[in-house]
Amino acid sequence: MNLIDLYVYEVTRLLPLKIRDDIALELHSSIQDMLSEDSTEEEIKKQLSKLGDPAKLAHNYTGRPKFLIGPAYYGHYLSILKLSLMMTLTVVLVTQIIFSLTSFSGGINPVSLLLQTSFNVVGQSFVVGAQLFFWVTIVFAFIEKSAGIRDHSSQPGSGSRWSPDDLKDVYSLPNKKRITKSKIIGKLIWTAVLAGLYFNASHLIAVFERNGAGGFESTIPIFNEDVLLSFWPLIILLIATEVALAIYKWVIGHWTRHLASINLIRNGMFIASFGVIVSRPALFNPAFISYMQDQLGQSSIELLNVLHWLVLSSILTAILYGMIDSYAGIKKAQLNVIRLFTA
Amino acid sequence: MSEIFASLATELRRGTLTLAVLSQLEIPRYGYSLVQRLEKSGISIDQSTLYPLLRRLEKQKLVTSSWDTSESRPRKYYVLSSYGKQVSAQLKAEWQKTSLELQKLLEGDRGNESY
Repeated sequence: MNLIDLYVYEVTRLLPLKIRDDIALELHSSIQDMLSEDSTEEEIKKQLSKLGDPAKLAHNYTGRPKFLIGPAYYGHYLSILKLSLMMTLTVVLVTQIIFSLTSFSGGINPVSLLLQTSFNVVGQSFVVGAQLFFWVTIVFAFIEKSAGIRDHSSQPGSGSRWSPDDLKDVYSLPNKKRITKSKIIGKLIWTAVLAGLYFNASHLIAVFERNGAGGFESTIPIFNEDVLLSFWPLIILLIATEVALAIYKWVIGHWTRHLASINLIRNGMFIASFGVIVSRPALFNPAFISYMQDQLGQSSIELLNVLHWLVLSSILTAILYGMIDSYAGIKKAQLNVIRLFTA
Repeated sequence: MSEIFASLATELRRGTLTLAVLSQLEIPRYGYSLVQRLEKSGISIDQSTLYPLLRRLEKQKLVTSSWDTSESRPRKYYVLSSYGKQVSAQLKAEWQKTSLELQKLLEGDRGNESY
């Protein structure tokens, strides 16, 4: 392969397949046009350096933006990132402290316990922070790539022309239709708390017993840890969906039909996942069941019946909640802005 | 200082390149012949900008292209489409209007200084 072939290859390998051959042919003939019939290697090098960095040339051909998140969403991106980082770090801190308090028994040196706790907090914060950074960035890059959220909102970068009349829409937006930041923050905190509970379930959702040192100790986890944690990919997916939805709400700022349908899908996902996890027969820790038998003096069949009823009613509650939430979203999306403004 | 000037000058020239290229495509031309023509009239254009620009114009349906394989090496020729001719004429008028206005503005400036 000579220099020209190599150069053309370097450019075209960065291009989409569809246009690759055509550009290769054209570039080849253009380069040869620049040169005389019997060019020395020196001359070829000189001409190629005129064309410049192959990567840059390829970029000029594709014309794709060089940024992941453009100026229109960067502000939103930073605030969401800061906010969610702060929240999850708080949850990590709180769960770790509870964790330490409940595993505190007289034998351990308080200093080493403190060290252990701070070590855990730093480690978990790092893992959770990296996950969060990754997901939030992915979601925003996706929003950016899909050329912004096309909506008739007056958000910058939404593509539609802004006119002062849009201000009227903002003003006339009924309060019910608006999504306040505090609501979004509330939902995110709730998500973070649930996630914290899930991943530390064996220590936080358990039977607590008073120990010798005057503290409480979690002795018997209520759930079977292996079964519960086997659902982690599903849970991560749910958390990612929740964060993505929060970002979407944050950016558009009010209920739309589109948002209402996404909300409906998300509620469906939540109910389905909840149902699948809760209805697993081995979900409860056998040790917990026998402990309860001892405490209540009931037979295991009676106890299992009670648990079944609990599971069933929790699923029904989840379905009811999901239906109410979805319905509220649709209701809010359908509130007619213009009519309320003129009325 | 000179760096700022260079970047501002590039910015100033960038918008005119499209017009310069469109104006030369009344008859079919291939990439390198266009470079030479523009250079002869004093307009220097990076080849790494020009070739992608031609493709972009084609995508925007302002020019059409065809391969000529009759000569020793195949060449891709570009020529204005009828839509391209319209747009080119509009751009030309716009440029003449703008340069006239700017000239007035700049000369008026000089008049003030000598005042």
